[in-house]
Amino acid sequence: MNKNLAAFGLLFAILAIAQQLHAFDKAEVWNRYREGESSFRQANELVSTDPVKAKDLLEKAALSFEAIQREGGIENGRLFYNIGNIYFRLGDTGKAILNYRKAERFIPNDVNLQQNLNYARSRCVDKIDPKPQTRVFRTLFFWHYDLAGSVRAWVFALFFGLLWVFAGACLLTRRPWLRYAALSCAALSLLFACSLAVEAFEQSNVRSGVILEKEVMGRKGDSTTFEPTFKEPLHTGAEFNLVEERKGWLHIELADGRRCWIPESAAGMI
Amino acid sequence: MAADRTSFSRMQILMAVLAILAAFAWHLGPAPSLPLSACGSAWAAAEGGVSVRALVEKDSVSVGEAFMMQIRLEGNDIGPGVEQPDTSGVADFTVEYLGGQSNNKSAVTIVNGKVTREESRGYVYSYRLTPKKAGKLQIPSIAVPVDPGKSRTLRTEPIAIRVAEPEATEDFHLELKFSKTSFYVGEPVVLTVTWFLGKDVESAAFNLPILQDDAFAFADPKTDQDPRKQYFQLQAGGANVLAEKGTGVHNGREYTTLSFKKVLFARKPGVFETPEATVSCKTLVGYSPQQQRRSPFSNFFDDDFFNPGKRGVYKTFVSRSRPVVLTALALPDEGKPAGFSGWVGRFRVETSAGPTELSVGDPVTLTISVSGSEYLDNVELPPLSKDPELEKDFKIPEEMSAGVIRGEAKQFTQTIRPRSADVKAIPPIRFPYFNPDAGRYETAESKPIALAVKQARVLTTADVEGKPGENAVRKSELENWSKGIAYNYEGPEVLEKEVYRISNIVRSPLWLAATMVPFLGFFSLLVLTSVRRRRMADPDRLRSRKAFVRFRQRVRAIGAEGLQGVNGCAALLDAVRAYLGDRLRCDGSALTFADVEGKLKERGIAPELSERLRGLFDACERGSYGGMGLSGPFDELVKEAIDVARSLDRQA
Repeated sequence: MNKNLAAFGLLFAILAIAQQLHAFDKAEVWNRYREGESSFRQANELVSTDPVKAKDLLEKAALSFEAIQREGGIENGRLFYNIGNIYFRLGDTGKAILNYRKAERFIPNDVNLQQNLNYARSRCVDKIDPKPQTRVFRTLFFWHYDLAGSVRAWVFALFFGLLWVFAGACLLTRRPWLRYAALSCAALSLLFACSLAVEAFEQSNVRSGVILEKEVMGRKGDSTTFEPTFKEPLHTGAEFNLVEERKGWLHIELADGRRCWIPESAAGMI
Repeated sequence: MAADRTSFSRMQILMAVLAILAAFAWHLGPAPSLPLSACGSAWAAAEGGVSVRALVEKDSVSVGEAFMMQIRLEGNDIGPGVEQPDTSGVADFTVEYLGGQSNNKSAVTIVNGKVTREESRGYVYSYRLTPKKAGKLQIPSIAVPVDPGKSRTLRTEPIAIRVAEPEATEDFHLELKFSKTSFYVGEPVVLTVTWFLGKDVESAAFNLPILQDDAFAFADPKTDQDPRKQYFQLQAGGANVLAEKGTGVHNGREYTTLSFKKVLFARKPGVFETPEATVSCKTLVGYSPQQQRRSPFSNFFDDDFFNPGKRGVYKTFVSRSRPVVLTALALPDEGKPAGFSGWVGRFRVETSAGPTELSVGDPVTLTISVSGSEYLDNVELPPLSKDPELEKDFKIPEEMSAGVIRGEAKQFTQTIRPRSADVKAIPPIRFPYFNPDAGRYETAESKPIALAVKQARVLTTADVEGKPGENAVRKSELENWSKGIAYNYEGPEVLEKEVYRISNIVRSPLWLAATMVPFLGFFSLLVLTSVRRRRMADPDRLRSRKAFVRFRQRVRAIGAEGLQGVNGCAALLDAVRAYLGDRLRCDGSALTFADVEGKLKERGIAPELSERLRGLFDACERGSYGGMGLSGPFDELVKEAIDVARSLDRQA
C-alpha cells in the first residue's frame, strides 16, 4: 500500500510540475506580447513594400497572441480583438470574425470592435439577414445586447442596492417620492436580473460559431451523401448557432433561421 | 488491519479508473486513428518528452493503390502551430497532404471528491500515399519539426512497403482529357476525368498528382445539377469534387462512368508530362467457399444476407491513366500593353454607376462587370487608381470590394468621388487582355457614363448673416470613411484576465458584498424600527418585563448598604412594592397586599403564592412600622422575598 501511495504521490507531483512548466509565467506572457506587437508593427510598415515578409510577420504576431491566450490562459477582449485584426490583415475573414466575436463577449460596446466586426462582415460573401424578430428584440431590449455582462451585473447591483437604501429610508420617513424611487429601482433591478438570467442560460446552452473554410456545402444530413441544403455553398465568415453536434458534423442554424449540416473541421466555435 | 484493506482496494479502484479514462481519452481524441492491427508503425527515439512515429494503413499494396499514413507527434512540449514535416524525400510515392489535427488528450478523475486532471498534447499529420512503381519500396525517415522555429526536429523511422503490380482487368479504365494540350500561360483549359466502371465497386480512392502540381492553378467549373442525374462526392487532390454518373463507351464496350471536371491554368511556360493518375477500388469478386469460424466478436453483417455463412471476397483493382504531354506557351512580350494584368481569354467589360447627379466629393458607386470568358474565378481587377484618365477626375481609394460572380459575369464595385464640377462623365475603362485564339493582345473597353456634377454648397457664417462671403474659405464636409479596420490595442490592459461568464461575475466577493450589504442593512433597520415601534406602542411592557431584574438590584443594594432591622424591612417593603408596581403596570409606592390581591387573582396566581406574598407584606410591615422584632433573621426574609418575586414572575 505504501508503494502505491508513493507512486501516486510521485504521479501527482509530476503532473503538478508539468502544469507549472507548461503554463506561461508573467514574464513569458510579456515577452510574447512584445514579440507579437513588434511583428505587427513591422508588418504594417512592410505591407506595401514587401507583402510576403509582411505576411510572415503577421502570422508570427498571430502565433504570439494566440500563445498568450492559449498557453498563458489569458482571456481578454482586447487581445481577441487584436488577433482578429491580424487575421483580417492576413485576408482570413473567417478567423477575423471568429476572434472579433470572442472579443465581443468581453467588450460588446467597444466602438472599434463594432466597426471592425461590421467591416469584416461586410467583406463576407454570404448575405444572411437576421430574423425579423431578432431585430425587434435587439431594439426592444437594447440594454441586454449593447451592454457587457459585467456592466449589467454591476448596474443590477447598483439598482438592487439603491432599492434597499430607498426602502430603508421609507422606514424612517414617509416621503412619497422615496416609495416611487424604491419601486423604480425594483423594476430596473428586475429588468437587469432577467437580462443576466437569460445571458447565463445562453452562456451555458447556446454555442455559436463561424465558418472558417473558404467554401463549405451545407447538407441536409450529417454525411456527404446527403443532398445540399442550399444551391450555393456557405463561405468563410458566415456565423451560426450550434443546434446539435455529431461525430465530425455540426448541425447549425444561420441568422435567418435556416439550418444545415456542415463538417466540424470547416468551422470554429466561439 | 481492516482499514488497511479498505485503503488498498480504493487504491486499486483509483488506478483502474485512471487506466480506463486514459484509454478512453486515447480513443475519443480528436485525431482519427488508423486501424493499428492492420498497419505498420515506426517509432523514433523520444527527445525531451516528445516522441514521433509514422504509421501506415497497409504495408502491402499494388501500384497506384492509395493508402493512409499518419505521423503522430506526442508530448507536452510541442509548440503551437508546428510546421509540416518535410516529405520531399518520399520519392517512390505520390504524397497528398490531407491535413493536420491536434490530438490533445485530457482525462478527469473524481475519486472521493478529489478531482484529478491529466493532459497531454499531440499533433497528427495525415497523408495519402500512392506508390509509383512495383517492388520493395521504403518510406524514408521524415524530419518532423517539434516547434514553430524548426529549432528542434525529430525523425521517423523508415517503413518498408511491398508494392505489387496491379492485376490487369478490362473492368476499369481511367481517362484524363484536356480541352487543349497546347495553350498559353493563364489560359483556362478544361480537364475532364472519366472513370469507366464495368462492375460495382465497394470503395474507391482517386490519386490525381496533377492537381497538386505547382505549375498549374485549378478552379472548379460551374455545374448546374440535373435532378434526373446522380452525383457523388469524391475526394481528389485534397478537395471534394462532385462527380456525375453516366454511361460511356471505351474500346467498344459500354461502361458506367463517373466523371468530373476541373479548370486548369498554367502558372509558368514549359512542356509538362502529366504524372500518372490512378483510381484504386475494391470490388466483390466472389464468396469464400469455406464456412468461417465465427469468433464471439465477429460482425454479423460480415456475412452476405443471401448466402448465410459465406463471406464476400473483395479484390483491389487499380486503373491507371495514360500520360499526356501539355505545352504551356509564354505570353508574347511583343505588343504587351501597359496595364496588362494577366487576363487570358476573351473578355467584355460593362460599367454602371449611381448616382449620376451629385455634388463634388460625393461618392459614386461604380460597378464593373467582366464577362466573356467561361471561367472568371482567377480574374482580378487591376487597381483603378492606376488608370490615369479616371484618376485625373476622380478620387479613387486603394481598397475595392472582392469580385462576385453573378450569372455569366464577375462584378466588382468601387466607390469614386468627382474632384470638380467640371467632370462630365466617367470615362471608358479599358482592360487589356490576351486573346489566345487570335494570338494577340486586345483591349476590353466600357462605355462612358454621363454625370451631372454640381459644386458642393457649404453654409458659411456669411450665409447665415445674409452676406455673401467673397473671401470666405471654401470648406468641404468631413465625412466618415466606413472602410478599413481600426488600430490594435496596446498596454497592460490587453493582458489582464477578464471574465465574461455571468456565473463567475455574480460569484465574486465584491459583487456579492455590493448586492448583499444594502439588503442586510435594510433588514437590520427593519428589525430595529419594528422593535422601537412596539416599545412606543406599549411603554409599560418593558417595565413589566424588567420588574424582577430591578427588584434584584434593589435587594442587592439593601445588602450592600448593610441595612438590617427597621430600615432593612422598610427598604425591602419598598422593593417589593416597586416590583409589584412594575409587574402589574401601576404605581407601586403605596401598594398594600389588599391592593394587589385582586389583580393577582385575575392573572391566575396560585392561592398559596398569594398567601406567601401576604406573609411577606405582614413581616415587612411589622418590622418597619410595628416596632416588633422579626420572627426570624432578616436574611431569611430577603431570601423569601426573592423567592416569592421569582415565583410571581413565572406565574404572572
